[in-house]
Amino acid sequence: MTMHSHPSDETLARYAAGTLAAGPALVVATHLEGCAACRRAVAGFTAAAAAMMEQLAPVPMSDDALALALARIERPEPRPVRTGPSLPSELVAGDIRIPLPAALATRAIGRWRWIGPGVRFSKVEVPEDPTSNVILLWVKPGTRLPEHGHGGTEFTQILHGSYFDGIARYRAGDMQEAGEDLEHQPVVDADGECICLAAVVGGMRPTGMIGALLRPFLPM
Amino acid sequence: MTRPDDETKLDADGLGRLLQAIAERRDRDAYARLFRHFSPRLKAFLMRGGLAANVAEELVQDTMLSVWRKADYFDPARGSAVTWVFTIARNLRIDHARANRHGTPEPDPSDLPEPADLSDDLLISGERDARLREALRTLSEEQAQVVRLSFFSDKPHSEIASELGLPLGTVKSRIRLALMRLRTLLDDAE
Repeated sequence: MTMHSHPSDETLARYAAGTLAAGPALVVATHLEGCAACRRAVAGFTAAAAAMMEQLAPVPMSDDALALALARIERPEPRPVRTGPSLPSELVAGDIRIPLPAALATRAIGRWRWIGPGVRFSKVEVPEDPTSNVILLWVKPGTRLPEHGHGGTEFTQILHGSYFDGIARYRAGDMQEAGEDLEHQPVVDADGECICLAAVVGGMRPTGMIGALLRPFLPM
Repeated sequence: MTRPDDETKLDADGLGRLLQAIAERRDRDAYARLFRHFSPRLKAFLMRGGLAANVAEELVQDTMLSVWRKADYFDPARGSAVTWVFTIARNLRIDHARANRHGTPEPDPSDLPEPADLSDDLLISGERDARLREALRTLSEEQAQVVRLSFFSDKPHSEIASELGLPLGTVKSRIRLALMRLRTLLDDAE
């Protein structure tokens, strides 16, 4: 039996409600692109969030709100904007070329930088979320990452290859959500390189694996 | 705005018919009724997520303008009016946060591409939506409270715990159990 790894219910619920921070939300959006089960769960949680919005105590609008709304609908509708220059559609890491997740298409992504033996990273800009760092990680086959606990939650979506963290194996399409209570030591499988998208939350205490690796490089 | 209660309390079918009236004949009266129903609720939702009242109100206006312009995309067979309007507000808030941070002017809502979440597989059927609302009523008040908090507030568990005067572990397990129960209800509603 193959176990697949998905975001937690709480993460999916917050994503559906729009209250998950933008960094983790980017990782979840990447997961959803390949996971119909989680897309269905998000649809359900969205309907639930909408139903709960109806139950919140309403907050009155200002007195002229309706008049303003009725005036705005009389204004001419702007023409739809044309799409900008064509966006990159591939993620390239050495000889590996994989489709760039659509969620990343409009994000500025830095170049690969060496970070330790067998490990490179590039930064994904999510300026609207100061609480997390989002990176792509590119790890050589068989690389053993340092054993580590987590200062905050790390959200990791596997885009290519696989790793085993001593507890479970994570393959392309899986998402691992590692809470602060998890201690693990991921080892990238020997048969191929591994590329992941990760959001590291809780920038003040970067004791997580990725946080620890990044510390010298990032103002966290 | 003082209006009779029955004007702001519309059921899901009634809201859907108002949306269809806008789509079919640009019905301004229907739009005013939808605005009275949704705007104070959208404002409450946006403020729960940490927005100031004036910013929340601007986003409500943008959401409702988008509702007017995109009403013909609404299909009652593919989800309730409430879910449809909520999804527009949620996406606009996310876009607003991103645009603000970039220092770029905010896009007019009608310039935005169709929200991806309105594609087929991300909506649940109207019937399932109705059963879900029924099922939500079966949550205990205690469960409903933690579900609301875990959905609508961007606060960490530790902050929720101190607000509720509960140990952190209790809050974590309540959220997990309440969402598990909600997930079961959602699966049953399929």
